[in-house]
Amino acid sequence: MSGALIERTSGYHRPIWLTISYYAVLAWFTIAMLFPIGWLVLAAFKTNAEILSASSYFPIEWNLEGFEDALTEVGLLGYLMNSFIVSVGASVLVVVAASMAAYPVARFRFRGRDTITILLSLGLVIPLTALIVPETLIIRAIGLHDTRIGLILLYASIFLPISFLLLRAYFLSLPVSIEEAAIMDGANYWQILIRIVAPLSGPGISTVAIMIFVFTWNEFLFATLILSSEERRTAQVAIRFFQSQFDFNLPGMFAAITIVMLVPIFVFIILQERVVRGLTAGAVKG
Amino acid sequence: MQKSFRFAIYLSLLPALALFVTFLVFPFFTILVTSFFEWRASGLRFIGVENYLELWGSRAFPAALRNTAIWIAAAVFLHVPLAVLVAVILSRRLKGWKVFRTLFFLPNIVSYSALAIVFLGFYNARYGALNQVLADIGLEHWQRDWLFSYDTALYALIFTWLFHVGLYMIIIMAEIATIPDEIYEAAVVDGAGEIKQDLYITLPLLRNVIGTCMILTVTQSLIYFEGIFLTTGGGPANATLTLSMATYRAFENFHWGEANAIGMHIVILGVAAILIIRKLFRIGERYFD
Repeated sequence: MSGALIERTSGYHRPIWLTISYYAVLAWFTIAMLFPIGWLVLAAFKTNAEILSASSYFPIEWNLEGFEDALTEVGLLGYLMNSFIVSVGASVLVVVAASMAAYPVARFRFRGRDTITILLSLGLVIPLTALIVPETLIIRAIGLHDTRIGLILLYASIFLPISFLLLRAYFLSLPVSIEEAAIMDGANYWQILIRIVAPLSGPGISTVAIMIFVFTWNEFLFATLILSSEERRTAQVAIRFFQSQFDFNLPGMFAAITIVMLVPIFVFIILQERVVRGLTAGAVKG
Repeated sequence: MQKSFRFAIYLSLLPALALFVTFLVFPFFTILVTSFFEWRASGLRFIGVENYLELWGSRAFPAALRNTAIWIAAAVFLHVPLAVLVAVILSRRLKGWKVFRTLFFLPNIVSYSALAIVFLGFYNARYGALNQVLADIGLEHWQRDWLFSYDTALYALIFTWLFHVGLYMIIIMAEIATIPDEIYEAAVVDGAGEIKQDLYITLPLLRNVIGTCMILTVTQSLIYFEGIFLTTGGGPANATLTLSMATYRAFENFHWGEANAIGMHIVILGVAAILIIRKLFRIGERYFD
């Protein structure tokens, strides 16, 4: 399927006005999305007085004091590592559990199938902020308060409905011919799921895994509630404290935010090649 | 053939169901029941529907309902269509499409907490980037304290959700990549231009995934909290108070029963939205047996 989309346009010449319109949309979108972030990153290199005077977009002199303050005044690297461990653990757990549930729901008729889909759809709208008290009490009751495992389990549960619905939609879009052939050949359920469906579902599963990684990385309310000790604090929880820690040091705070933003972006750029290859080359089409 | 699979299927469902029941169903029934109680740190007392009546008679709650409705409308009518537009354009593989796809998705990997600080800076009345731009292009009289003026605060926050477009774009692009080429080849032979192909071939085939994105965006609008909490906190004068922010406020003030009653509104609105969207987009009408 590689190169497939290029073939779509062969023998067709795009009018120039359409090309210009395409790029106009993309340009506007690029500016609207990236300007606020770009501005903050540049401000991290300014001095406090320079930021407050709002005189220019670029620093007069590239100043690294903000970054020094960010790295020395707070334990930033430890917080980032904590976030990473929790997010990887949660996305692996949720993708495995959600695939194991979404596949049979998408493919087979059995009693309770529609009930499961409806229940998990309802799970999407359970307001997480309203669950603060019961969630905290449950985590305490099973002895997982202030542990990463507790937070990973909670995250996996919170993001299970979304993962389930996306994977179900994805499995529904896969052709059934290969699985049917495998059933004819006498393959059992687990052989089909692990040897046939999982390898063919790379694009869907990796997209969901990345989404969940991002969602869990972004989450800070439950992280604040579950992880009370400072050495387990995630980057999100740390950001709340930046505001007071860096009270009159805007470059320091902006530099800390820049570092917090850059690390996951860097990880994503590395991971992306694999994801993009999966998206473009993975599936057999029916 | 399926009867022999029955045991394996139920075993396969087990981990997801165990997580779901423990951390979502059980807490959910806890808040459902306690929304009819006065629940404070000191204990529980049954008060019937009083929490609900108090909410409807209050000034803040209707404001939260209105603000949430505006937010959802923007997500459904601006953010998702924008995601479709960008996904369709990038799927045409213009020069640089990979760079754009990466750029548009990247802000989604940035945490909400970090973005909250970004937008506190961007909208800041004294040194913010937005006012700086307005000054530079001669529109000083448009300058204002965007996040803390009653008229602009909500829209300023909704604008920050442009980042979500990149996320839905990725999901939609993955779906476009699964559309067989033969369909387009036939259209090209018939002389259909790109816009016609997109309107009559791509768009109808995206029905399922657009519906999924709509469900995601509406439910996210209902529970979105961090970006409001860390910037305006629901102010000024409830201008950015949403249902989830109101829930948190009640929780913070130890009015747990009231918090859970607001939460029940979110649940009911969310369920209604899902049912409507599933119906409109006929999601999931593709089974085999």
